[in-house]
Amino acid sequence: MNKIETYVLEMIGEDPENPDVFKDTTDGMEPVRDSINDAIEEICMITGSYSQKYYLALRKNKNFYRLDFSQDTFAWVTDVWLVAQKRRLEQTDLTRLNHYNWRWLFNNGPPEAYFQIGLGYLGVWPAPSSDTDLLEITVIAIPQRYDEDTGRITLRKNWEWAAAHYAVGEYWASRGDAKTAIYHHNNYLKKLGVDAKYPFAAESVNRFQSTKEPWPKSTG
Amino acid sequence: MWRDNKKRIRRFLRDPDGNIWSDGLLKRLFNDSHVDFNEMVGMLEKLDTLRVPPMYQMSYMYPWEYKYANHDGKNYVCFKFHQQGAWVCTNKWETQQLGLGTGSGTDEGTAFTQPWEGFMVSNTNSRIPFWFPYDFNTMKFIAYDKEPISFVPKKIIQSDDASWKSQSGKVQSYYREDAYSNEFYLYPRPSTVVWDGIDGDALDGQVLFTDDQDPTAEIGTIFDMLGIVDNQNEGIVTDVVEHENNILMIYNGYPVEIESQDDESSYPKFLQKYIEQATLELAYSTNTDGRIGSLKDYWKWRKELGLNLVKKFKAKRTADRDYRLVSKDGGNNRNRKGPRLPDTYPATYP
Repeated sequence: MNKIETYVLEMIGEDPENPDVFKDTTDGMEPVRDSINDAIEEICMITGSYSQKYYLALRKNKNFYRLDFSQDTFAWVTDVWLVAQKRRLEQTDLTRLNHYNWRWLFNNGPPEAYFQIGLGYLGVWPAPSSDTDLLEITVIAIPQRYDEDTGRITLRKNWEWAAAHYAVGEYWASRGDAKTAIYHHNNYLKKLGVDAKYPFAAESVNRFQSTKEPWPKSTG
Repeated sequence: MWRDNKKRIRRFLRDPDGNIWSDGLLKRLFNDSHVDFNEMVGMLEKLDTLRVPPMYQMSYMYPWEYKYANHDGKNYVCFKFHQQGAWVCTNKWETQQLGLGTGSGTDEGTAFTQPWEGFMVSNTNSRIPFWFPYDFNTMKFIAYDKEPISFVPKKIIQSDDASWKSQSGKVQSYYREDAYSNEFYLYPRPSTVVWDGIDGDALDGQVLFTDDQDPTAEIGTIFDMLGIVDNQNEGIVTDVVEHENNILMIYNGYPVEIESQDDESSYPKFLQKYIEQATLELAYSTNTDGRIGSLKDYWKWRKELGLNLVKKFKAKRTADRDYRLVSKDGGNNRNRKGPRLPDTYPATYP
């Protein structure tokens, strides 16, 4: 039983040392772990707090690639690096490509831009002219669900307590007490906070400023 | 899997043994919510290639045959169904024979039973259909032979071209017969097609299949390329055979309908809980012994909250975009310096 699970049991009136209902086994803790996993997924989905690297070998004349994660689940791309040429690809989309060049599928050469398709595909433009290069893709991922008390919790500490409230709220919902469930879920939302809950650089002060892009756009 | 979704839903319904809500009801509520969720967030963007000539799983003639067909693949209704007499005719003049007792005996082209056969003759008496993938919902991008084509309503094509049914040449657009069917037509019909990568005695009219595929329901929506394995290391999905002469499409998909315990939602696990929440709202609102208003409202609140979060998540997918501010008139979008006409050049032509 990990720290969040212990806290959940305490809040719902169970004795973590000697629980009546939620025994410290995989089956016994399944409902609580389900809720905590749901909370972790939701927090990562909203905050983008968990990233992974994905390496993709480019193939000659191929614009489209399937992204298949064996551990986590792909959420969105934050940056793409063309390894051999040591440069970033810009993000584009179908509308922009069509506007730029109606015959964009005919172009080939070193890729300059990429775009996401749904929850599992990546497109590059232009199509690589050889099999020689590689993409290093940084993605925000939804972590794999844990099912044992030794499983990794991929949350920062200030969100761990939010996850506990999520699980407690769902416990009360499963007992038919909507009012208490709402109370705890609101607690979860409050603890989850706005995006600035965990800024990368808390010492910096953001401000509005009009800046032009320092690099030329490949697709207009 | 639906088995896991159901277990979680039953936990929150406090009905683990199905004493109030039956399995069938929960499944239908889930399917209903599944479609709703997809309509609202629309994240099932997919990529597919369609072979030209098209490969259908089977053909049939009479409407009653439909119920015996496997609907995972593409079923083509061949020939001409004569509504008045429930006959099937191979040529249109035969219906004249049925109605008047005499017919002209001539028709406008060759009849075919499988759409690919239509490409083996120059003149067919039916248009050659293609079939969107079975989970197709709406189109986002479609290209034929690597060149984007656009949707044009059938009415416009008919108005502009008296020979629209038999016109062949360079494909410029596509049209659909109705919103119900997944069939669509290329216009004009491709004048040439590539038969590479298709085995079987094509010229003898035998069943066609690709080099690396068995003739199953998968035919016609094949992701694999010849010689390339479609796995996580390669993951290449553009081509069926070659770049040329095939249809590439990016579309918004429709979620699969859950039928058995082992069926999986079209959405990844981390989004399935929102569909479960919508299912719980519906379950608590159905007129059963378990109907509880406060819990229905709670799950409705959770569902709506979830939908807002998913919309926020969708917006994150453009996190790597480079935005810039322009005036309301659009401003100057030129970012590559090059020769341009002077501003005083006549605004209208000539």
